[in-house]
Amino acid sequence: MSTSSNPAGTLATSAGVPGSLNQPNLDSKAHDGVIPAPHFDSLQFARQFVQEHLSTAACDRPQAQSEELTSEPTEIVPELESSVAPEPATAELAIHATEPEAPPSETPAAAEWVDVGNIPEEVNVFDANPILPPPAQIANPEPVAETSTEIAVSPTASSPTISDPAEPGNSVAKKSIPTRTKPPKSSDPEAEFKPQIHIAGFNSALNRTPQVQTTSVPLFGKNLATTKWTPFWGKVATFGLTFPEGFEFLPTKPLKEPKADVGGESAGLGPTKEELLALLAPGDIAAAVVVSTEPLPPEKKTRLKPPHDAVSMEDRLFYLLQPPLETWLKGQELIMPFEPFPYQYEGIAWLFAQQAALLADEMGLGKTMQTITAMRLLLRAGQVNRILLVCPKPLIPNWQREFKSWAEELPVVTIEGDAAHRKMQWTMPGVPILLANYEILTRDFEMLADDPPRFDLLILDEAQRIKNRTSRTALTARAIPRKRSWALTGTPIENRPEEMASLYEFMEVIPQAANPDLRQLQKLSKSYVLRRTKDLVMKDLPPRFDREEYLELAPAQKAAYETAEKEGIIQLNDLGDSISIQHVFELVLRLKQITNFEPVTGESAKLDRLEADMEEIAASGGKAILFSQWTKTIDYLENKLARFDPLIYHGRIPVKKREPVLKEFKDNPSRSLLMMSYATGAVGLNLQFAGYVFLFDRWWNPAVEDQAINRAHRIGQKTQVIVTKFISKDTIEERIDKVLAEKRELFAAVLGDGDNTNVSLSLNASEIFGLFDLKARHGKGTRSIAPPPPPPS
Amino acid sequence: MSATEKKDQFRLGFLTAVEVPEQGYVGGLLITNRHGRPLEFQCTAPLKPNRTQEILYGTTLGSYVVGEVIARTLIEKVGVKPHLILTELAEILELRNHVSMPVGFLEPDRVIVAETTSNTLTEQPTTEAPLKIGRQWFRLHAAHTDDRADVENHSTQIPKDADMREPFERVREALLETVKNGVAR
Repeated sequence: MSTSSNPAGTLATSAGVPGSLNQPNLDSKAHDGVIPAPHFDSLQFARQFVQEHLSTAACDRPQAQSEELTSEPTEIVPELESSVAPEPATAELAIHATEPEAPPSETPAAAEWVDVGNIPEEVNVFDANPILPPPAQIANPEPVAETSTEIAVSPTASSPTISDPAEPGNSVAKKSIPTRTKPPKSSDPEAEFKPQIHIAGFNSALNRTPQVQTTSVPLFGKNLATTKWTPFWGKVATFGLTFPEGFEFLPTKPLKEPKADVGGESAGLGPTKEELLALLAPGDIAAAVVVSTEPLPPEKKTRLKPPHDAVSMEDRLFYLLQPPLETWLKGQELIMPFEPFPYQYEGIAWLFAQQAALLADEMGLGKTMQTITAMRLLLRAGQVNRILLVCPKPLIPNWQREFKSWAEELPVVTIEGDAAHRKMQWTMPGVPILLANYEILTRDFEMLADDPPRFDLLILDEAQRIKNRTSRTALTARAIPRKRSWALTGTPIENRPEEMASLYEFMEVIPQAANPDLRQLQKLSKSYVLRRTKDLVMKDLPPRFDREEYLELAPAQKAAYETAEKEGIIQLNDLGDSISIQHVFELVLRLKQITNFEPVTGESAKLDRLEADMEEIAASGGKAILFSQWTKTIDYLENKLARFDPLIYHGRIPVKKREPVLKEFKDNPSRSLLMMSYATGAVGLNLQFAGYVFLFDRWWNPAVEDQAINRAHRIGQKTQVIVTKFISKDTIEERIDKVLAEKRELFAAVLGDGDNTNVSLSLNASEIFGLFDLKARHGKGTRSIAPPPPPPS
Repeated sequence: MSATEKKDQFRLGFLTAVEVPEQGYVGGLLITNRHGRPLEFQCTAPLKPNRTQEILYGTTLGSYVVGEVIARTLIEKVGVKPHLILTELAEILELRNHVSMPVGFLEPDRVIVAETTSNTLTEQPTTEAPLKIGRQWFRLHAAHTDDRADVENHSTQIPKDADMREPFERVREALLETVKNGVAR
């Protein structure tokens, strides 16, 4: 496209040449009618003239000029035409004629213009500017660039038009502007050609041939501003978590076929609706039935929650992304003998997520089952690979049995045998679960002290065994390298709340030898202790009825008791200030034994009552458990109750014979009585098939009594449990029972909302002394003596 | 169980996304075994379209972000490749055109007439008919007719009473956890 069709663009380019000659001085000369020197490029001059002329017009008539420059460039033509009509040969005159107003006299710089002919020779612009070619050379100017503006002069018309030289058809009529300017009318042609140049330091620059180029700028061409957008999404940041591989399990046996008594005990494992439909012959039902996929009734879903101390996102997501426990345990992967109770699911989920845990469920709620299942899931999830479970020696068979029942696929190795064999067992690789008793633990870890085996999880059953934090057992347990620490006990506080500190130290949630106060213990309990009571979670458990049988001592018993008490107190009083708790304790034990039976005659009010009850129990096919503090009493009763063929279970029974005893009691309907010692039989045994419990004498600690009672009153019990506590009237037993009742209330209070402080739950020295009216000789008289009460915490 | 057998076990990918107010879209992919046990999890950082994208994509913005940007990123990132991808978002069904494994869309709950002995709905005896996996019904991509036989062959390994909706709850919960804690930024 040529500049003739785009005058605005061309003019803009010309005006933009800095330092060029097309400046106002030349414009003023042209305006004054002074003809520029012939060596000037007349084309450039004319172009400048046109530009300045139009610019001046634009200043005077901005609106009109603007229209001429931009939208209607041909509007220039009429002006040119009217002015140049008589002299069509040159465009300069025509253009000059259109120049408006502005008389020469009004030019402010006119006085400074001088005739170029008066310029000394040494300032001749040609000589001073070596760049400039000689005048003769300038007389024949170089051809104009193709893009230069041309004014076409029609040979038939007097009006010149601006046209594109490249446009076909225009070449004939074109006449280049810079050919020659028309000389003004003057008598001295030479003088006429002398330009008046203002004397200035840059005059030589005025003689320089201006280099002006034009550039075509198409209005709607490629230079039009555009915005381009292509769909682009940056790299998406991601976060990943890979789950560890779990323990490889042996294939489990499929579930047994459910019994037909749908709605009965096996209802939980009964066939589904679809399975029942599938059992029907195709002809029995329509080919198509309406199957509702409407939202199923909400199922109980026990989700694992991240432990409160899980900080990293990987740890938190690990728990969040585990399936609900019900899904895991529904027989899809892990087969359970029966459906756990909801609270047991919660307990399993809680244990699974805990690094440190104290499961303190009341006896009979299934701590063993919850622990085994949590271990099973941890192994399956790849969270642990090696577990050590420590329990009292009598409970080893119980754990073995429970493992077989609840996780038969788990390989369990019991640490036993001689030292060399045990050492091999401790270090045997690839064994996921080791089972050991406390005695072996303390003994063998001294042997392995240099390189103790490491475990992912250490579990202490009946963890009250380490309540004394300085005991050898406690020290050994705390020294075992491990990642997780769990403690199991139904009686986390047997005597004093501070016993919890020893458990917390084992769980590594308090510093070594720290003594948290009650407020701190309560805070720790919220994070690390899970305790449920039967009243809270086992509303369907058959009730337990406690009967306190106050019995009059038999005559011989009474006589023996009174004698022993009197003599005993006299002896204690004789000891004076040297009396110790051991002296008092011996007297208490002697009196308690007399309340059981008179040693010489064998008379026993309790035995008489027991025989009566047992007659009824045996006749009805029931089973009863009897607890006593002494094996001697049990042996005595075994002879007296021979017709009931009682079974004996106490510390003098070899461990290997204990399990057969329990099995015989369970399976043989004619064996209706099992007599046990508190120390051996109170913990860990499942005797829920017995409906009667006799506490022939009283233990010092109500928690131990509850442990004993809960052998029968536990999950699986189908009938009510009747607990009979024998209490001999007007004896030390009555006083002990009163103290124990008070302690039982305090026990519940401490483990409940924990608003009790430093309270001893068993009989402390002050309380034991308080059972008697102890006095010491004081001159001729006596004075009461007793140890000081324990200081309040 | 040998490593080969373990490797060949049927794996499911549960893919979904949520829109978090003021943060944008975030997607997650949970790979599980046939019992729902997690094997791997991948999630994206919140992806918030800018104003230009919102204007130019218009109503298709959500489906594009979720179905192509997020879903494809997750599939590329995950190390344990699933044999079947399940989703609860219809937009992700189109992912099938970009991946080699079948994609199943969880049908909304509704009352349907079903054949008791078949896993196929009788009212839609075509390749587009929903397919029952576990307790739920899934719809496969209509353009990939071979997927049906493939999924039917493998889905027998999934327990019939498996709740296939539940894993999506896990993914959503995990996504909110990651957004809350600002990971993958």
